[in-house]
Amino acid sequence: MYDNEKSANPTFAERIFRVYDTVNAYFRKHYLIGLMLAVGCFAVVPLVVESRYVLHLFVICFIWMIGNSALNLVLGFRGCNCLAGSALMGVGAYASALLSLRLGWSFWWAFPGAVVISGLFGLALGLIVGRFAPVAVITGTMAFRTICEVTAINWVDLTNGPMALSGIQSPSIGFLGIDRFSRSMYFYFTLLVVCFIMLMIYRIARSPFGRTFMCIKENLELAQSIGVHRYKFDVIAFTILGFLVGVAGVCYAHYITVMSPEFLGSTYMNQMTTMVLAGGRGTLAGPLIGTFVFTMLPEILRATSELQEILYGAAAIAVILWLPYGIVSLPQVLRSKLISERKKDKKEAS
Amino acid sequence: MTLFISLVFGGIIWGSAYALVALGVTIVYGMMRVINFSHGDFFMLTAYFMWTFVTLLGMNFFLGAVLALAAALLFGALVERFLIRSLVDAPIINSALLTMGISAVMQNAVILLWDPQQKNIATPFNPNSYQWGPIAITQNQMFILITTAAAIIGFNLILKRTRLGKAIRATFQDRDVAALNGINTKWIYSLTFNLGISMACIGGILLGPTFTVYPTMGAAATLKSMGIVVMGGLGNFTGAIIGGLLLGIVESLAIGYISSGFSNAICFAAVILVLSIKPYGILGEKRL
Repeated sequence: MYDNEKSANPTFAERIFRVYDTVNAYFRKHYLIGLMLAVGCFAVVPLVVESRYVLHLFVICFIWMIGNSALNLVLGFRGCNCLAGSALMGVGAYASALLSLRLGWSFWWAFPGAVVISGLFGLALGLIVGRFAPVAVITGTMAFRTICEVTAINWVDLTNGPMALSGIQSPSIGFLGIDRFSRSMYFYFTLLVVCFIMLMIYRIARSPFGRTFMCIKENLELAQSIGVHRYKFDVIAFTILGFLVGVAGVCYAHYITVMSPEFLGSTYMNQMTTMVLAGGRGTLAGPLIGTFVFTMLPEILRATSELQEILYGAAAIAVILWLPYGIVSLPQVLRSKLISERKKDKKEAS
Repeated sequence: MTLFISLVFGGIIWGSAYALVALGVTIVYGMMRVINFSHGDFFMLTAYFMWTFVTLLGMNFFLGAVLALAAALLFGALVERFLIRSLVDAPIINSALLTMGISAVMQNAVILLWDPQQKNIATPFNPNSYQWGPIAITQNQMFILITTAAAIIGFNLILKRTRLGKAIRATFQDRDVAALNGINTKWIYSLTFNLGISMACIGGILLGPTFTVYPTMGAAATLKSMGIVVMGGLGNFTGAIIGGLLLGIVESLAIGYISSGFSNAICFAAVILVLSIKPYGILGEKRL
């Protein structure tokens, strides 16, 4: 795709891209070192930063990273037009909140319980939506979200409706004498979960199973002709989505400690889709970068909530128009722009 | 039984307006393969323009309606020219995200430009209803039924009887061959998009004064039109009309017999049910 021949007197841009290539190739080979470096960079943040607000932003960012990476598995790797990420995450969050509030389960019991519940919802959704035409999947998953939202608003006895569930307890570790997680503890906890989920998604994406996903995305007919059962794979994909996104939901519910039906609204659905697609769908780093940029950007700009939504919308438009493969493709786009222009100049000169 | 008949009749009235709005989504998807999530926001924008013209500036109701339609269509043309045009041939999730972005921008811009309060538009219609047995109809509902029928028939005539309609259908069938025959396909695309949008705008004129006007009314309309269109078969005109009427009746029955809070959930459960039986919609074809 790119011209790799090395000219005798490289320009500044070419030099930079050479360094980028070397670094990129190294981390592609030793992904674990890259992961540990990234984790190390993040891990020192609570030691350096005093502000509780910045830590809060990081925790929120990590929670969205879990959800978005899981959504990317279906949206990016499988290429299925699924918009149900935030809905399943909300199901997980509500399940965990209800288990701990109504049944009095501790966080460590509510966590797996809620994850299993959201996984089962994912399975049910997959069984239904997997049969739909590709475009109908958009509507099917949106319909699922609406049904969840309407139920959460109107089933007041269970979910407290628009008054929201409040007082969800923060996780505690009894034998260490910690009765509720402090913010920096939550920071490390969610960071750990992100690493775990990322390793899992890495394993899935690089396994024959994950490659089958990409095969279905690239060429459905070919995949079917060599015996891939699309429906079965879609059901499995939605189930995995339910489980992983449920983890994010549980972390969210016990961190924010208030769960309202607003979470199931279209705002969060758009936000998740924007983060995944703007970061770069079908790549491992894309959703992480997208999440980071889109959690921090509104804070840096200090925007009001309306302006924030406009910003999300405008960013979504800009990404689709100029960077269809997301922020991760920025170096390649820049390279092809900068270096091909130089070639043109050369040709004109000679 | 009387309740049932009157509910079904009420459902047909709202359903016809839903069908009109949904028809726009189906036209845009069928012709351009672009799924338009900002469709309902044009519906909302028209209602806001209308509120501005009729209530704020005190214009005549019908004049205000026409001006609101023109203003919204002008905006639609700009959106098409600068944003939608690049989406032809792009994967469907791209158009979904871009139009979701347009939708978010429009909704929040409306909050900033006007304000988030609910608004009412005064209508010149008599609020008393005419009664024939179990069927009751107000002047406003008659206006909705007649305008919807006229818009659908008018659109059908444009598409089936005129040279322009022939060009649109030709572009729909094969863009390259149409272009070879001297049809300006870019122009046809922008025209198609605006025709689709105009369905939503007419819907806004009809339903805005009937209900209240608020910034997220468009999102609800988009959601319902998506359900209708997919239920009827994407890209299929008759399917959209059948789907619209069906959804209107289901909603009306759900409100009448179960509860108004759950009506939306029941509507979408119906959509999912239909799609589970016919994955490509009632009249859909497998090629989509």
